[in-house]
Amino acid sequence: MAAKSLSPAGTRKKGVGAMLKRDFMKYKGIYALAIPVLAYFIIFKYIPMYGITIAFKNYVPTKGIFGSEWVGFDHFMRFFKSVYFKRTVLNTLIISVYDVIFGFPAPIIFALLLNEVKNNIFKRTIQTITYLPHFISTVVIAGMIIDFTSQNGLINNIIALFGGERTDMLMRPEMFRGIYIISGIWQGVGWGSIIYLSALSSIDQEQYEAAYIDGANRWQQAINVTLPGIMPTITILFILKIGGLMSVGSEKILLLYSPVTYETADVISTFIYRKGLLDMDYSFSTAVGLFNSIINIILLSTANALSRKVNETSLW
Amino acid sequence: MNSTIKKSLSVVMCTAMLASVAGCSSSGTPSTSTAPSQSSAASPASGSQAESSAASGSEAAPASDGTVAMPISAEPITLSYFIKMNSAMSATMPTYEDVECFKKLEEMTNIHIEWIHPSSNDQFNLMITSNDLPDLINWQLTTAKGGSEALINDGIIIPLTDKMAEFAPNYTRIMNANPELKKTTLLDDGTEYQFINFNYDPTDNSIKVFKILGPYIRKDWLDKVGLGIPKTTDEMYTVLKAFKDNDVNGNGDPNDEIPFVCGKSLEPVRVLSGAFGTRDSFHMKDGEVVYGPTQPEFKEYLTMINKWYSEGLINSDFPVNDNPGAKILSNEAGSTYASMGSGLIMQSTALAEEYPGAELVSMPWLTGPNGDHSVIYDSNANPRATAITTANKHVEESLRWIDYAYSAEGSMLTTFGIEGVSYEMKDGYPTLTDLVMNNTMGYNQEEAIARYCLGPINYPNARDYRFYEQVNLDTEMKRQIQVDWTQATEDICMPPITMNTQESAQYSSVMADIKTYVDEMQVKFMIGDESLDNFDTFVKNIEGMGIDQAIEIQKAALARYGQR
Repeated sequence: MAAKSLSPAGTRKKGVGAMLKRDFMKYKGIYALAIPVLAYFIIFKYIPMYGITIAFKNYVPTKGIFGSEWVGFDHFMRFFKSVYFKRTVLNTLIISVYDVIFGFPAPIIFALLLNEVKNNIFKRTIQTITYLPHFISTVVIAGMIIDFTSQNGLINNIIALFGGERTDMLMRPEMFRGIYIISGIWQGVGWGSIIYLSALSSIDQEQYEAAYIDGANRWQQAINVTLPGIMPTITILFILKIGGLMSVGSEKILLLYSPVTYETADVISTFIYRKGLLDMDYSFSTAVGLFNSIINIILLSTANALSRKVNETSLW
Repeated sequence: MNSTIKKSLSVVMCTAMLASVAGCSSSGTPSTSTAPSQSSAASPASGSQAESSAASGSEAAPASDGTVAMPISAEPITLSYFIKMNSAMSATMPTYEDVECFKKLEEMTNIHIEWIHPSSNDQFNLMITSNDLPDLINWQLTTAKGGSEALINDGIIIPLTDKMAEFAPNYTRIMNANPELKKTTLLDDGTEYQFINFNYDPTDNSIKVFKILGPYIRKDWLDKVGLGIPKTTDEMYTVLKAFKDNDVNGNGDPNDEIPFVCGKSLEPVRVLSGAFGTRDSFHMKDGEVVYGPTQPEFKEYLTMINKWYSEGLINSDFPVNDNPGAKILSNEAGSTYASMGSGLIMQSTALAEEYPGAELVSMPWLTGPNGDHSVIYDSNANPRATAITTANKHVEESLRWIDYAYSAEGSMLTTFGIEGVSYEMKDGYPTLTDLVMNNTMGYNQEEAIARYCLGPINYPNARDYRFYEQVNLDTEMKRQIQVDWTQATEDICMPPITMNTQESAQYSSVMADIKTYVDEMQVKFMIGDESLDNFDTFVKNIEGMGIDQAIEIQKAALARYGQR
């Protein structure tokens, strides 16, 4: 299916077309495997894109997307003029930047440490335990966080043990980001390390042998062989991370925040949730979402261009 | 190096796909607004149509005593009906189809109903958005975006003014006998469009009002500290203080009592503002609409809550606590505010089983320092009601079918079920039988009744008042609840006004930011994160955000309401 659409008429391109056709005939099964993925992206990611036009309209469900009247940039102006514009954007950025600083290196360090472990049983056990939180639903995770941080919870018990004072941590705006980031690391460190472990396994063993003969110790090997070996992976993931800088997921925040912590916890996605789903202000929330995506694309392209210049690794 | 990139990219892809598959699992649950099942406030009938049975509305209704001619349709027809399922019914049945009175109704009317029961509150919005409409909708229509007027203007539901008298004579008759109640169900221009549920006394055509939300307290704790049931905020403070200082639950630890428990909905704390004659939204004050948070009374109210909180009289985690009821059940909490059925009655039974001697009782609404004694809103202001959609091809039959539940015979069938099975006439009094009252099927009473009739649930019918007498006024405790909870005035309550589409767009645009700001700040004032010295700045900020526009809209809508 994909091959057909890629072969337009034309003498020179006919060659490519014929080649693709042959390739297609030869690997039918493999192409068939790609169909669900293609269909998924076309149906759920590309077709719905026409819906963003409602950001420029006054969307009324019964009139439909096409029937609603155009209002230009009204909804965007409303967002920019909102007293909460600055706060939501800043909160989103701060949480993201914290996540890049603390959350991003965590799986790398973890993978490097794991790589040094020679006992396979120990290594596997650690891996399984660290993967576990990833498979628990966010709702349950949030429930656990609420329990852990509550006045009679685990963390407060530990604090009290050392003579500290008990507090309801989720009621302290200044603690919200910390709780969010630390629990995020707990949730994702094991799962996130998989990709680095796979990159680690593809490093040529001979390089280690050569380094060993040159007299490098374990630390020097890690710095000079292992790290450069997984650098491309780190770079790619870092670019992707930067591309998502403005998109802090709403689920966990929605489950953890409350009006007391809006000050530090209210981010763009939760703002969109309240406007769009609770107040049914679809056009407005779409406009905010679109604004968010545009910033993300700009960040992604910038990071990619920089990376291409600096260390010759890039997404495109 | 190149192959490393490819390899890692493919892993990225796989991870991304996995994530996208797993990523759609959860979402925050929007707070469910309480949809009380009892009927709206209305003064008893003026008695103008006391001999109602003779006063049937129209020529089209063939029988003169208000009965509906059967079958309603000669040909069998099917209607789809979107209605929230009551939990007592969902406990034993997949849809309303299995309720005995509906089986009988289908037999009589030749109309088959295809029930659509939404599983979440978002489903109404989704249904409207997707424009995939059933024939009948039962919902809190006035809470839809833009109000019920928008639902009519956008072509979702149809106005029924010119059809009511002809095809729904019974409903029309009861409404005309209760003009104050009727007024709450109309649009400003007098358009009729919905059918509501109410408790009805057929002997004099009047509507009975019940309260299902209110405060309650631990009677045994009061006895231990030698205090009576508090009636004012000052007495309440003394009581809570005594709960705090003593080991009233008798477990040896004098510090684990939570005198007053509240959850993140803030509702138990919020209703206390009625004792100061204000609330955290629009309300009436000396016949004018005002915005509560900008009033000096609101500061008094916040000051009291802040005092209670800082002295440990309210659970410290209340702004984030999502299950305050658990504290009642674990014998830790002394007082709160919640609903009658799932709150007070359920909790008092469970508590007494676990902790012998524990006794929860209803208490009256508190009176504040200036003598205010009001509830903050009419809990029936946005009733669930049934309307007919634009997709309905059998409007007349639908109206007759709905109206039947308001006729003398239909009211009996829908309220009490099948005569001789779920109820019997004893000296002219419809008495629920042992089959449902003390069933051996393993259901609780409400579930058993709900298998036969709609008495226990919020369904558009004239619910015979005598049902309520047997089920909800059968014990001393339940009678006392009604005595306590109906005492408060409704001085500050806003009537159910409607905004037009343009007003409602402007209103929500202004109020969105203000509401967030007030939600956030009032909690901070309560827990002391923000000093009450800054209350004036708070008021100034609200004014700066354009509250005047919203007040103007409310005033205009109220004026129109007055002229209905």
